Amino acid sequence: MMQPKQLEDDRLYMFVFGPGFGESIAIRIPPNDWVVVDSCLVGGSAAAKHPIAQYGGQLSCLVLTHPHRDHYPGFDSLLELGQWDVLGASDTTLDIDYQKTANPKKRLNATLEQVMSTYLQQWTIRPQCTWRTWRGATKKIGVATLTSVHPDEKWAQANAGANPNNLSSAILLEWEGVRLLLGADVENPFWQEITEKFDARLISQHTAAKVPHHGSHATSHSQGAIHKGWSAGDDNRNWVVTPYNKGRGLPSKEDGEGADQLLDSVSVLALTGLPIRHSAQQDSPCETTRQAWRDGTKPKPITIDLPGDRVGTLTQTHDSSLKCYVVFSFTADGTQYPPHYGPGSIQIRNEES
Amino acid sequence: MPVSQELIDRATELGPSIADGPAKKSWIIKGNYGTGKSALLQLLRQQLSNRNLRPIFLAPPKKAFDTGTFAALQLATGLRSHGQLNGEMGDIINPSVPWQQKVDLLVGCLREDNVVLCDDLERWTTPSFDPSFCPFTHRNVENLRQRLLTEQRCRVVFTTRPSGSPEENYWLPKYTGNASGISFGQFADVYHDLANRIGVPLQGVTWFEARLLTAWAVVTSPANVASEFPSWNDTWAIVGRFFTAVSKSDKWQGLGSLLSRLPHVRTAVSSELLGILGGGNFSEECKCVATDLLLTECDGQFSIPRFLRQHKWVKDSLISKELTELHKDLKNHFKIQVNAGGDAVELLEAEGFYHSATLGNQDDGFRLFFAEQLHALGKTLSFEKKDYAAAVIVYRKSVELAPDNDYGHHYLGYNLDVQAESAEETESAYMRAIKLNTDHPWYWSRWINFLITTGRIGEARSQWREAIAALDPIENMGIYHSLHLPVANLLAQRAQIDFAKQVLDDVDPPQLLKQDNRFQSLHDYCIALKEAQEADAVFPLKISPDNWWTTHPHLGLPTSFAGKALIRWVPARVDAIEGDVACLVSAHPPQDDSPAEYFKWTLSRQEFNDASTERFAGLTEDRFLEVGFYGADGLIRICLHPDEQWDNLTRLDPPDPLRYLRKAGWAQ
Ligand SMILES: [Zn+2]
Repeated sequence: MMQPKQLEDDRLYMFVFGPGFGESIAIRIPPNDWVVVDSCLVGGSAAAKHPIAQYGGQLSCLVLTHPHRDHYPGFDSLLELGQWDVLGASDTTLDIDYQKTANPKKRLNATLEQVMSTYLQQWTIRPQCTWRTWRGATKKIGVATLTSVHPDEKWAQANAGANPNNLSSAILLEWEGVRLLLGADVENPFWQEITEKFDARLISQHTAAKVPHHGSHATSHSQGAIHKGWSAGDDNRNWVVTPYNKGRGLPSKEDGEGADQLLDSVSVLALTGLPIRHSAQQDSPCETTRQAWRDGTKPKPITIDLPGDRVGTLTQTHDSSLKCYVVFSFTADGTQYPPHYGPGSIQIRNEES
Repeated sequence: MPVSQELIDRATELGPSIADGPAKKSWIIKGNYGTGKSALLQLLRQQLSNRNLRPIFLAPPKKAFDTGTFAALQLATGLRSHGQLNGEMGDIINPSVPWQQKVDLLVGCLREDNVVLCDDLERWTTPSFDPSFCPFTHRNVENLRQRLLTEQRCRVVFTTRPSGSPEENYWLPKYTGNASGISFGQFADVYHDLANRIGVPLQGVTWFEARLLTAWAVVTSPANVASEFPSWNDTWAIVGRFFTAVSKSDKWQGLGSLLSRLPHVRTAVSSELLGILGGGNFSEECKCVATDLLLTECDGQFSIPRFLRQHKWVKDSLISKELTELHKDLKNHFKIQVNAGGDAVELLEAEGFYHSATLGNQDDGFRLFFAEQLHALGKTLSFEKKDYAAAVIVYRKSVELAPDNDYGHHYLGYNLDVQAESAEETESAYMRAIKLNTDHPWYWSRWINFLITTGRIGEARSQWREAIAALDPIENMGIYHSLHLPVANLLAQRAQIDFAKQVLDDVDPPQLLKQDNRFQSLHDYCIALKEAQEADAVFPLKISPDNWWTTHPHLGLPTSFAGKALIRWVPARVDAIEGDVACLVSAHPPQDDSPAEYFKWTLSRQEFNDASTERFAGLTEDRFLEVGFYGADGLIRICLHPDEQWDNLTRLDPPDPLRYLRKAGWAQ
């Protein structure tokens, strides 16, 4: 099932986009408030623009969780959509390391200057739109409440040079009987701290979650983002992971890592897309198992041959179609409706053991 | 230099015809530079006075911030000398009185027996093909000029270069070789020697050129000048050779000193000031060459002709420290002159103000008469001293005195903008300037760039459309350089690629994008960033997208290796280093209508080290490289692009697009 034809008035919709580089979450809170968290490009423009343009509604709240280059492509064009009631961000300092690089990809980081300039201008002339998303800060959007669970203001200010992921703003959205955990890129050890600062049940007993930091697992140089503080709970929670295409990529499909660990806690894992071109690009959804995905049998990556038995995997480029998204929807009592899987996304279970 | 007999004859002939002609009429004296127009005008002044008319001579500095000031003050002091301005001088020199009111007053004082003599009238303002670039003062001057010519309250005589105008005019022909009429002062012998060597007549040279050649012969020798005649092709070239000869010789050092300094004084100068400007080595001989052959003289005051004033040598001859010293000397000189008083003390004071302003001084005690005089001061403070806060104060005063002063408003906005100071005042100043003068491309580009810089991109788009509607590039191609280039440049540097491309697409003809390096760099930059946005990047910025997909690699990959031919090459970027593996992104060239195809692959430490002269240990993310495949079994060689920065875009002005963010502490 692709995008919903129309949105039911009484449901909350959570669109999660993630084409392999970047992520964006667009949440429609009944009756017509849009909350958008981060931005990425899908189909040649800011992903969140698609549902807003298609279904219409109020530009209620726009949040940049952290100034990392996989979270703001197209964010400037979301700001240009119109005047947002609330503009949220915690860390507003720019790391200007791209001004003289010979890499055109990095030069694109300059869009962040545009984003921050607009924030500064809007926060100055409309102080009421300011939302500094330090831990504990809340915003009411209609009858819903957004609560930032990370980062702690004092800690962030004392650690301005910290890994930007750990300065990112994870957010809890509560609407009637629905609770969404938007994990941003927060990694460990901070999930422990978050569950201690907030009612642990709030964090783990969510209806749906955008899994933090692309479902990263602990490695020799990272503590990963998976933590029982948010992961332990009912196995029917709706989890969606956005992939990250750098190097070997995230989430890991190997045994005991990333996806496998996540599937210990939930029975189904939605992945907005894969950073590579694959055989099931047009299936919706592409239902598979982690093992088949791991082994490359379903979906099959599309490869090209290089001389000497070398193989390359084609990436998704120059594609103007709307793809790589998953849509969850819930009514006020917490009832879940079948998710919509966009082209390129996959739905993963573990093989029966 | 003494005036030639021929000019005296002309003046004697023309004087009565003006005096006897109708009282409300204009005469145009036409002639090329160097033919003696200014000198003739001076002679006419005398002639007309003798016939009981009341001449007023106007020769303001050309294309200066204070051209209007001088034109008005010369008219005012001229009127006063004829007893026609009674007590109104107070209003003329009151900077709070609007220009229009001053002009009404001055023109209103003119009587039928006045003759206004305007020297080189067309150059009081900027060329007509580019009216949009006139600063405020040029509108003032233009206004005064129009009033003088159209209201016909008295006779007006003005000099200009030849043109097809059918109005009654007086031609000054070129010198025809009849040297008898020209005065060479004490250097007549040198002239005759030179003329004999070259072979009289000196066909086709002007009065000025004949004297200049003589001066050159004095400084070198008639034989030297004759040997080079006529290997120059214009007056500028002769002036250049003359200056070179002067600067090479110790004997003429004082003359060189005078000729490099005098152009910075815009009024006629006294013999005493000539000596000061000539410095310690200004011998009697130097002085004679200057006064007999090079400078024009009127009532014991000397002026330097245009060719000597504006030659490139003059611009290059003083280092900035010397120039500063010169302006200090001049400021002090005029201070003394002002204190001594005199007929036209206001002109001396305005000149003193100019030198003080050029130094960036704000309290040298010269009174301000016209708001436009502040612009020289504002410019020095802003562009030379980079004291933008002080410049803001000056421009605030300028617009307070003259609220219709677009130039003042614009630079008030600019100097605030550079400092990221008061976005509100910046906005209103920029907008006011555009409202007063919609034709100025800089006004638009700086305003649009302010909107982009402060994150108001939607407004920038709508203002861009308005700018395009207001300005007509067909009439002025410079608009592409003053509007399109800075706007596209900032947009590109802010990675607003689609908007930047839209701006560049408006450039017509599109060949300009290829012909002008600055446009070409921007155009390439946008293509590279667009590709990176929609796909990936496998070439560093220094390789133009036009050259991405050549058949040959860009780096030094050999055509064969270990006896095997290069069968294929791919560009690549190191996407990540993970332990002993380099993750690469590569691409295949575009085919027919389909774009380049990007793919990921890996190389191990071992493979890399075997294939490259560089070491895997030194490999970092985002290095660009090219991989060559040799033979069917895939032997590879790798060459790396140097790990270097790329900074090929034009500098922005204001220079730092992060200034507002820095001010807020959001950027380092
Ligand atoms: Zn991320």
